[in-house]
Amino acid sequence: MQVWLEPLIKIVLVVLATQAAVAYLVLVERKVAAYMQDRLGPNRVGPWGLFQPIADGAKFILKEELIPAGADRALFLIAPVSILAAATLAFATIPFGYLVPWPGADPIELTIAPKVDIGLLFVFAIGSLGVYGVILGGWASNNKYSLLGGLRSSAQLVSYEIPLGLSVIGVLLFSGSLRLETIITAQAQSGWWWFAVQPLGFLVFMVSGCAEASRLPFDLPECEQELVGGYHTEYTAMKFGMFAFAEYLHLITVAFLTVNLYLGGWHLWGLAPYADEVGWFGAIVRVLVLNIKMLLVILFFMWIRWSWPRFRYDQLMNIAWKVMIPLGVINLLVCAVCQEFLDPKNYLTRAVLGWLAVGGCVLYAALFAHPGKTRLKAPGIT
Amino acid sequence: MQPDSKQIKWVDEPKLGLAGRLYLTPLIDGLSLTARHFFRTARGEGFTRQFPEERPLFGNPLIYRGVHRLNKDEQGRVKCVACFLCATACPAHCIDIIGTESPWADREKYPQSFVIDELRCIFCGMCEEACPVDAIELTSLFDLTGASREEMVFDKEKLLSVYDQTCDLEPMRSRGPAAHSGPPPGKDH
Amino acid sequence: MLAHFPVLAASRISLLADQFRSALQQPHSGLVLRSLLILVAGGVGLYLMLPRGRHTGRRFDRIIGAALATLSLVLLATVEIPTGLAEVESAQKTLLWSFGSESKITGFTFYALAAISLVSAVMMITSRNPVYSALWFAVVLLGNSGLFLLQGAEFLSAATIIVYAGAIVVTFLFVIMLAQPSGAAKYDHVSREPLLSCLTGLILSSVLVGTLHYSARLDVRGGATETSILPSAEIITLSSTLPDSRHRTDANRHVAGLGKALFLDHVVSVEVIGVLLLAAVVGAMLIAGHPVHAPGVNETGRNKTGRNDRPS
Repeated sequence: MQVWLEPLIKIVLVVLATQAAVAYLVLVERKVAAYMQDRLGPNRVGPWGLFQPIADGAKFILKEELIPAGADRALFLIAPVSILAAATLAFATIPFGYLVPWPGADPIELTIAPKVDIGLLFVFAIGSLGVYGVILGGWASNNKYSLLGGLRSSAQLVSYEIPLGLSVIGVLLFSGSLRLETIITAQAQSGWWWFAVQPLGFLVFMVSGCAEASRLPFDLPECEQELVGGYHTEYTAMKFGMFAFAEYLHLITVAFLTVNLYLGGWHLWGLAPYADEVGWFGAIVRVLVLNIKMLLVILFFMWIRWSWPRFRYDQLMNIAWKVMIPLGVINLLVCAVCQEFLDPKNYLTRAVLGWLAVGGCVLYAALFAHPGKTRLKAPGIT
Repeated sequence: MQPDSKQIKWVDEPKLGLAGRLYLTPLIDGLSLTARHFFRTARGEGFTRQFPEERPLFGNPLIYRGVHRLNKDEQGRVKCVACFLCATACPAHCIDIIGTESPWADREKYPQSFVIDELRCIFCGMCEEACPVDAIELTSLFDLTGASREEMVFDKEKLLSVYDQTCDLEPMRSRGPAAHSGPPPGKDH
Repeated sequence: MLAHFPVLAASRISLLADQFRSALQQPHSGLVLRSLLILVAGGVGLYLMLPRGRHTGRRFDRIIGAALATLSLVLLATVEIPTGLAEVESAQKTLLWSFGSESKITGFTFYALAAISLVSAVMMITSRNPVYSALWFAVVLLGNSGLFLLQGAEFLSAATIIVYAGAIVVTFLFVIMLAQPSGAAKYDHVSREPLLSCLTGLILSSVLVGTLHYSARLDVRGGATETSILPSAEIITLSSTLPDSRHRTDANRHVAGLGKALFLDHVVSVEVIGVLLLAAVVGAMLIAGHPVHAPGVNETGRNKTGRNDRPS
């Protein structure tokens, strides 16, 4: 009885919370986009447009479902379901801290699957399954633009998984575990968030995470400018809604990972310090801190969406293979050297070395590697 | 045009300075620009008007080309004399007039039916230009909506009611000679 | 010498027959024979289902094959698994009903995952569309990684998904979609050598069943340590009956153990494989980066400013 009751409650909570969060993130995104373009955004449904997500949801459900002629029916229907399932499943190992309901009781881990040894790897594995929805949707639609979107996404997501994995190894080295709880605890105990210690890894992770979530500077799989809607061009009504949901779930996952790996998770000096016994109040404060940090990261992603130009496809691939992977390797080298030769408590020297590496890379990029030169030197079919 | 044509002027890309090659300054420029706009709108200094509550104000409503109206004269009769000049001038062929013998002494004909298909109309204002008696005019009503195609085909009564609706705000552009005395103004010249 | 051949052959045959007879007298040989028969039925079904020839109207064959394969799968699930542990053996009749009430969820998860893997594997080799084959392959990998997870091999399951399902099958799909947007070629929807491949598969699975039987027999005799050669179903049964197996206390056991095994016990192999992979990557870059000297194409194609559309 109790064996399955506790995970079930957690699953229901997390799924409902993420669905609601996605619905309102869409509103936030539209508001932020509007404000940056001197507009007001949705403000008709309810005060400040607060009921807009409900109206959007009703619209998604009530609109006409279309399956294009010549589409592969089975795969066309499976694609949105699979991408949404993969995006939701990734939340199984994301920790929200823990709770001691009464003094002396066993602590309750606020995670669906606590004590999973490979928490981070699990998220990556499930995240890598999200490609299937995109590829299937693109292929099954029987549409050239959709197929192009699917092809682009398969190459892009597979390429950016490599720098994503590389950037995380530094964090694993310093924390000594793949479990997300342990990674947060390591940051909370040391008082240093890993982004200050490994700025290069943080940069690579943010860029690759943005690409994995197909956010706007890297939105080549769907790019409205060239491919109409990319892989979801032919999708209507709730099936399109599932794709949109999954997209925002990916965004939330990336934001959670960024916060957990580099920004200290639930830890905040003074407000939510490291302590073993956490009562109801402490647990709620931690969840709040975690979620506010996550929201800030998401807002940053929305900010860069409207600020920076998009990449061309060859530039995208060049950034993955010629910039991000070398940067990830440099970060790994610095971290490995620090871990081997420095005192485990000596985080100041590590941070100084990390920022020196950033400075060196920036200086190298400025002096030796500007776009014109690399294009001339690039070998290959002319 | 051939790629080696003399008419093409090739422009080299501007050289990036050190700051440009650091990539940092352009990125920060972009971020600060959007942030400036964000906070300006957030302070309430945007440009948006709340449309249905706040009606837009035209500098001069008399030169706006919106929904048509059929003007009435002082006795409340339709001013139109069924001369078909507007229907002839219309490039979209959206005006359909059936004229008959006029019951009034001051003119020979009047429109038995006067139908404008507002969906075909391109709001060019040629009918207004062509009308010799200033009977047809374009008003400043711009939010023309309807639930069916039939609803958007305006007949004489509807066009006259548009006049009743807008005559206070937008007076007739030219009174012209009084319709009840003398020959129709179209025959003056 | 040739004159002795019949005698030699006869003696060999009689020896084999003796061995066979003695094997039949083993306690679980009936079970093995039954499993082998079921496997043969499954193999025949698979052979009937494999896509052959140009004509697509072999619907009847496919239905019979599918029925045979399903039947053999169901029968295989009901075969008793020989075990060395008396208390487990007395409690269970077949593998399907062998799980106690507290481990039923684990047992059914195992069966669901195993069935998914097997069915998708069959679908993978019998479907005519290469895109479908690749997708069924991905499902096989997911089922396998679920089985790994059930056995506690968390790292292996995650690595299977990331490396195979997340990268390799996606690359397959990429190539298939890029190469055949208009439809599959002939060689892609016909099975090559269906008979031979079915036979090979049958022999492999028979050997697997025999090995299972052999290891179980060793257990009965106490010839091996229990932990090393236990059939997997028993490990599930055992580990799920352990007190509070859901909350493992030594959370770092798996990954740390794997790391120790890789980098202490097999460090030389790991290094050699690493060097091999590096050489492969460098070689791939060398091949891909080689400039193509096609006639009519300028060697650089670009002038000094790097723009390739500008006349020189």
